[in-house]
Amino acid sequence: MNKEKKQIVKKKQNPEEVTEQARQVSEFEKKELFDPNQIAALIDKSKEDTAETLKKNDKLTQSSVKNSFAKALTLSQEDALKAQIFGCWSLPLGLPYQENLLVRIKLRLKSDGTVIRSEILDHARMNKPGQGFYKVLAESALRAIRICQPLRVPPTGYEKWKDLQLNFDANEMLKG
Amino acid sequence: MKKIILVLIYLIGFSNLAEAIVEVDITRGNLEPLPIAVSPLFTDSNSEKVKVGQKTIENIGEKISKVIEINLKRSGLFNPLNKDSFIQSPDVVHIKPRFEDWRLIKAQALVTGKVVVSGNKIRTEFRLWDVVAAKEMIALAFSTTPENWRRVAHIISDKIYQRLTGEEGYFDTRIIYVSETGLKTQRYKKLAIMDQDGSNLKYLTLGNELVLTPRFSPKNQLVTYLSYFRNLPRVYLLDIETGVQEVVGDFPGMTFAPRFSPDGEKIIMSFAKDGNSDIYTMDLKTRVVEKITDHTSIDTSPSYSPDGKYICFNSDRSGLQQIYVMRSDGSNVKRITFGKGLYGTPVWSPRGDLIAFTRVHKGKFYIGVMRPDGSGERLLTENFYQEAPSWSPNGRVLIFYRETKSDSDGKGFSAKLWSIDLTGYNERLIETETDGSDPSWSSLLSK
Repeated sequence: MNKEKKQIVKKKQNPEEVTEQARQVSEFEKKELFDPNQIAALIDKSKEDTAETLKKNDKLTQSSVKNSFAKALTLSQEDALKAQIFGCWSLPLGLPYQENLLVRIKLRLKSDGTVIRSEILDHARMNKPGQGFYKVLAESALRAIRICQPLRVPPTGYEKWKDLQLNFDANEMLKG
Repeated sequence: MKKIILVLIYLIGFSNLAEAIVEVDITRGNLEPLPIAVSPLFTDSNSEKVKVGQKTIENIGEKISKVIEINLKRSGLFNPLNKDSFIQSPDVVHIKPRFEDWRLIKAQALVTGKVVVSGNKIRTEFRLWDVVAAKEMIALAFSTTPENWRRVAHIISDKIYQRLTGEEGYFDTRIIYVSETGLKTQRYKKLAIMDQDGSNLKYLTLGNELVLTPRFSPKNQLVTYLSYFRNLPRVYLLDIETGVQEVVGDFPGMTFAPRFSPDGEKIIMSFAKDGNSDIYTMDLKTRVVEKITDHTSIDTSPSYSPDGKYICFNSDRSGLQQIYVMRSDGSNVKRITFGKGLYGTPVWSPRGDLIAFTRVHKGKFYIGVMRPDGSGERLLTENFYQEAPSWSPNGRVLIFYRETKSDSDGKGFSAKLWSIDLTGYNERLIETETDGSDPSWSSLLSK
């Protein structure tokens, strides 16, 4: 069967067959020569599709581990804060999805959730060659904070959460 | 003793805990295009009418801003806001935007500018503002002849794109393709070139000879293509700027898809010698032809990696057409596709990170991308018939062509150019005067 298929395909290479009417642009044979369905069904013994499937991550997220330790925010308080910022963060869509897309921003907050100071922790990455996207990503995170403020913070326990670190991670969204 | 150690460990742990900063992971956000306000570029009363050749263009500032807006919208990454909602006038906003007004309409970025006509030149300046941070992000000015006003708009679009995505743009580019007319059974094919947005269309050949597979040089405005002269394939070089054309060579048998090396000094193609198709290179200075593959199978569609070290191509050496990667000297050949069906037309991304391809499976044609080792295959679009992807110079968008079914008389047939970006969501028809196939994207003209 392989031989038969190969002979058919080789016809395409024959200069005698070249006419203006023929599909010369295509490097795939069309229905005139063979039906890809049938050929595939008869001949294709190759491996199954290798298209990547992303594995679900069943582990606890970093934040839930960190916060269960720190206990500055309850889970529902953390969820409320996250939900607020999710709505304010417009991810730049052109980001290269195979890069490390984590931006860590340290904030000093007022008791009403207004931002007094913000600091990008990996600031040096902004000026590294080939990391132009990081500056764009960091700016989008800062915009999200500005749009969102005052942040939804708990009414009590200011001393525990006045310094807050937000880890904006675009990897999951863009790869998922 | 043990108790003391345990107490110490507990105390150290507790003190760390007390100092620990609260961390919250933000792993979700809006994947909507960025809302951007493109204010019409201000044109003063002395500059309202501009002579462009025999024509007079009125309000050139508004026209430039319209081209910018369309470019940004078509990229799929930006959402230009409706101008009816703009409160500030173009002249005032260019000097001092009232950011709170622009925040009201949910703009996150703002483009302002001004066009001044002086003698036979136009001076166009623009500013990009971060509305939320209330600061200027970039400010540039360009002087040129009025004929180039669309190019100015494309260059400004590229600057905005680069500043807001961190990647080079692709708007100041051209697309060469095969223009097709007539019934499916009797097609007339001409080489055509246009700006990436479909404007400035020009036909480069008359249509009396069949032309195929035009490909831009990654270095300049040279094009190589295949044409049939007395039914024999011929490879041509065409300088788009000067119009000078030369024959690179007549090659035996069926010749396929000549393409440039990344340095523009060689072309790589396949042709059949003694009934067998292999891959060859030709040095454009010395015209020395070198055989790269030597196999009894059909090897076609070679494309270099951007560093010139590797070549991807398709071959039926395993029984079915699949994609392979080898070193540029032809050694170390590795098969990278193992999926069901056929794979072909591999093209290495200018960024080097992906290979685009056409896959045929169960009667459907797919355009997809994968990493150079064959992993991470993603099929971006599926249709009755589509193939020949070509990358935008920033490796972010693919252009290809798609055909529709025809009846037994060849009626109802059409071939159109389409583009799609790497997300697979932003699929767009590229309007052309006639049918079109086999598109190839140029590098940035202003680079």
